[in-house]
Amino acid sequence: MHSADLASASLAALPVAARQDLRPINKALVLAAGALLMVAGWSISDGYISYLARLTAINVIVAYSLNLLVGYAGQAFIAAGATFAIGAYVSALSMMKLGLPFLAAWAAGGILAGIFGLLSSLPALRLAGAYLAMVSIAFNVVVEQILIHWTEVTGGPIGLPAIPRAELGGIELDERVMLALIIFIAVLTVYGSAALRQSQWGRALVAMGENELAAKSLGIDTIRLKAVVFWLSSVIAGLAGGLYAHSMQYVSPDVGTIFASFNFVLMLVLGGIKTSWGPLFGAFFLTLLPQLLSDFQRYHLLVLGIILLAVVTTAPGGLAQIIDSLMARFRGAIGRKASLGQSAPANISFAGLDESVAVAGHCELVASAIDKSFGGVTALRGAGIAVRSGMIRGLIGPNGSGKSTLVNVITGFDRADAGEIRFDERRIDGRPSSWVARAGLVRSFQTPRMFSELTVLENLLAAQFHRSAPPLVAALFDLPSSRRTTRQAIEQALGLARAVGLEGLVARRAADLSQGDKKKLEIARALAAEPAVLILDEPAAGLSAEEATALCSLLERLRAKGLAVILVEHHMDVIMRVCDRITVLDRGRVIAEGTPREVRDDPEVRRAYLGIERANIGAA
Amino acid sequence: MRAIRNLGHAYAHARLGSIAAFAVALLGQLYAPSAAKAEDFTIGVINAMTGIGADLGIASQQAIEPFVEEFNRSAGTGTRLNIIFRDDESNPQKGVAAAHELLQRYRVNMIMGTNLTNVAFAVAPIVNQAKIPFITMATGSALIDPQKFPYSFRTNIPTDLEARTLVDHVVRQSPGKKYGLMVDTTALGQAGAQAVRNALKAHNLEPIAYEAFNPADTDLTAQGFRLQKAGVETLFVWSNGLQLAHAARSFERIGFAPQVFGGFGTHQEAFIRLAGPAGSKWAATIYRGTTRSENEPPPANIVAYYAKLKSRWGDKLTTTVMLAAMWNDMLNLVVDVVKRSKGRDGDSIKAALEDTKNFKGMMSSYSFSPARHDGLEPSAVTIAYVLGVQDNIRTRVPGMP
Repeated sequence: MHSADLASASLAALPVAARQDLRPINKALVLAAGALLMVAGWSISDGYISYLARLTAINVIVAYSLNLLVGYAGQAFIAAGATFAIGAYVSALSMMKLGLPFLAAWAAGGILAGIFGLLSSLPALRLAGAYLAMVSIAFNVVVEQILIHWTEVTGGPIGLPAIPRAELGGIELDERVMLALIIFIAVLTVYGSAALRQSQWGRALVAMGENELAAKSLGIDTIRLKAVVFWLSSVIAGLAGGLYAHSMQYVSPDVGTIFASFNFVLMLVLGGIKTSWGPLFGAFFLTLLPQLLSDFQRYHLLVLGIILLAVVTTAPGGLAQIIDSLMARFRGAIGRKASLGQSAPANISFAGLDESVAVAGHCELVASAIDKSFGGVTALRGAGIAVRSGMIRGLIGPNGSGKSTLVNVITGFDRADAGEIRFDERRIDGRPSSWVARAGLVRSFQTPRMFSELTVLENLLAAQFHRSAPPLVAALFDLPSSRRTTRQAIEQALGLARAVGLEGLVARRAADLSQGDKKKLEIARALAAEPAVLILDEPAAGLSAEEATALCSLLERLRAKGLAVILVEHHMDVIMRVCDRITVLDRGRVIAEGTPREVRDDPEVRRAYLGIERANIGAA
Repeated sequence: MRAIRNLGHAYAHARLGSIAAFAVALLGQLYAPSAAKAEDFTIGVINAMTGIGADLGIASQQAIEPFVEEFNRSAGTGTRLNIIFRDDESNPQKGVAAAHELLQRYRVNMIMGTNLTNVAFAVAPIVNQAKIPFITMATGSALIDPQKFPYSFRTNIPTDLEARTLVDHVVRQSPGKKYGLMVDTTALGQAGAQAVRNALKAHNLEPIAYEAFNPADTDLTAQGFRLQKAGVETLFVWSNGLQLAHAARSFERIGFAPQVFGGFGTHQEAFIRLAGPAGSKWAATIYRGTTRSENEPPPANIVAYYAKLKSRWGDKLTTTVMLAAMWNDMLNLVVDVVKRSKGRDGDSIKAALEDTKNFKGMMSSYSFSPARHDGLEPSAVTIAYVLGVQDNIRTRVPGMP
């Protein structure tokens, strides 16, 4: 099947979220909608409506910036209020105290917010989830306190009144032009964030957010990626702050409180986190609803709270989910449901494998004399393993013998206490896991680590990020180079999906796969990263007998193509059939090494691993 | 592929359509006409009904509502007052939103309120730009400046006047003491700190110790301990009643019992209810009209006014009589101004306000001019103990007329 046909065939069967990913953005539509909105904004003469429109559009910008960081990248850094305030204050002060023109002052606000973002990515290198959220609250409080107490500069709790309006070339922008400008930036932000999400960057971000370990194992440089997304999100929020300062002409520390930050997070959660329209809904809802409820006076917060509770509990995906399901009902979901019921084809065929797996030249991996202990427990004692191109090395041993630890040490997920690892004569021990993966050592995990919210196809695309990332600017504006990388990545991904028998499921969310299919996806995904050495941790677990046989032939073909494979496996039939040489570990030591026949006949192996009684060996 | 693309576009269109419909529905709501009739005089009142300033905002409403009800009952076919309340959530940004709404959606004739100084600072430029009179109850001295804010007026006691009254009294009554200063980190506290420092400076004095606290703090023993260690005998404080009640209790815990003087925010109900005996040495500025000396009977008009409020609100009454009387004066002044004004437009009302001479209120007589937008007579301010309240009348400290 031609790949484009395949894509359309399977995409038609898709939940919207997955299909969206491959749909090119219609730039003409965006341009037309943007122009229309700007004209609409410009034509508003009512001061109150203009004020609300400006506020809403600014909140839209911040909500989308937060969707990049907290949504796609999954970083629970919720101090958007602080970044917003930095942009607002710096921009205002640059104009008021330094006399900079508007554009320079505005840019200065964005730059300082970006620096704050980079700084705040540092704790995110070590922390995640609730811990990171706590740190971000602390960051937020620090900024807030500086704004309150550095009175000479920030004006203290009273803030900065009478901030000059924005101007261009010495001409002051009135409210209407300002609104058009803000709408322009908001449209650009919505477009840029959609384009980014659809690019290889977007998939890498979501992959990192879903499963950082797996992302690293595929060579995604999560340190750099975090720095980029923190920076980008902060710059956008900072620029929104600048627009706020020069259009409202007043800022006080209240714009940067932790409550302001929570409000932005709430827009995201209420609208639908990680969705492309959710932040828009959330920003509209949370900006305009309090105004509609203002007649309720002191009960309006209560009413707002009840509405929020109702939405979040009935639709965890937020307003976007509610609207999605309404739309689905509108269109009639009959056809979709039928096609979603399709299951995977029973047989694995390896058609297309040859085009989709590229192998580098000859290579050799040698790990020797590796020691590793965790506290008092010694996991590895002088263990070693070697593999070269065109060879399958089995790594076996009883449970707890140190197989997975050895794999972790080789791939940089654990650091060895002693010993050395050389890849093509080059020392690679001590290198971070994503570096090791980019060097060509790619592993799978014993328990599949999926990017659960991504489709099968996107899982495969994300694995190609380190080879196929377009420049960030190209991704943000959906430039041809970004499209090209995505297109090429899709070609290869579809080939790999076919190779492991997942072509009928490319559009399914990885979370919805069966255990066996997850295993297949992990193999395909590791291959998508174009390894020189493929390290598979129990790939046959969960596969049927036929599938295990198919796996064997896949491995044989990979060997024929010159790949080096380390196979950790309990499934003895698989090991004995495909391995050229086998290393046996027991209690952290290598107790045997040799061909399958030699290992099978080794008495110590039989005793330690194959479960043959001592008496039997004696009798033999 | 094309089919998919079309489907995708159709979907995107439908989705954009739903967003547009949503936005139009919301905007339609916002455009809904207001209920006010042309002959009404509409006042937008922006106050904190939630957040740190909520006490004052809610108390204010308890004074405004009975006034308006009674006025409109007796108005017959004449001008009626139409009040639109807005909650600023103690947040300047929300105050700005409320001001825009009141000015541009409801086209109010006047804005009153903003009990918090920082909210008033945010709202003042917008109201002044709209050329609508703004009578603020916030006390920050810089809020009233006929050059900068030609449409801003105040009948309430400005912070500078409070600080001067306190410091002059303290220096006169017990010279040579060691003075300390403790304020919260809000605009109110910061403005108070500046005013006290200025007033002390006029006597060539300065505080020997300074402490600031977050308005959300409930434990102020650390601040108290440092002030005590510095040897502070007389302490000036600037914050709201609730926060200061926490301070009084914290001081009591560590046995720190200086003579304390504060602004009239100290007199809030929250302090009286929560400070306990720890607050017995606390005194603060207040309208003279709601006080008595130790051997005087309470002023009858205030007692009667308070009784009326009590019968209207019962147990729900949280307003102090001085706050209620202040609003009563403000609203009576507005009624008088509307009567004298040539028209309902901002400039006519402003001119009539500036033309006010010796308008008699319960708390003071008020005079304005184009150069004077703080209308209160300085003699209307005195100092009284915060506790020991009878019939909501406070007892002046010895030495204050």
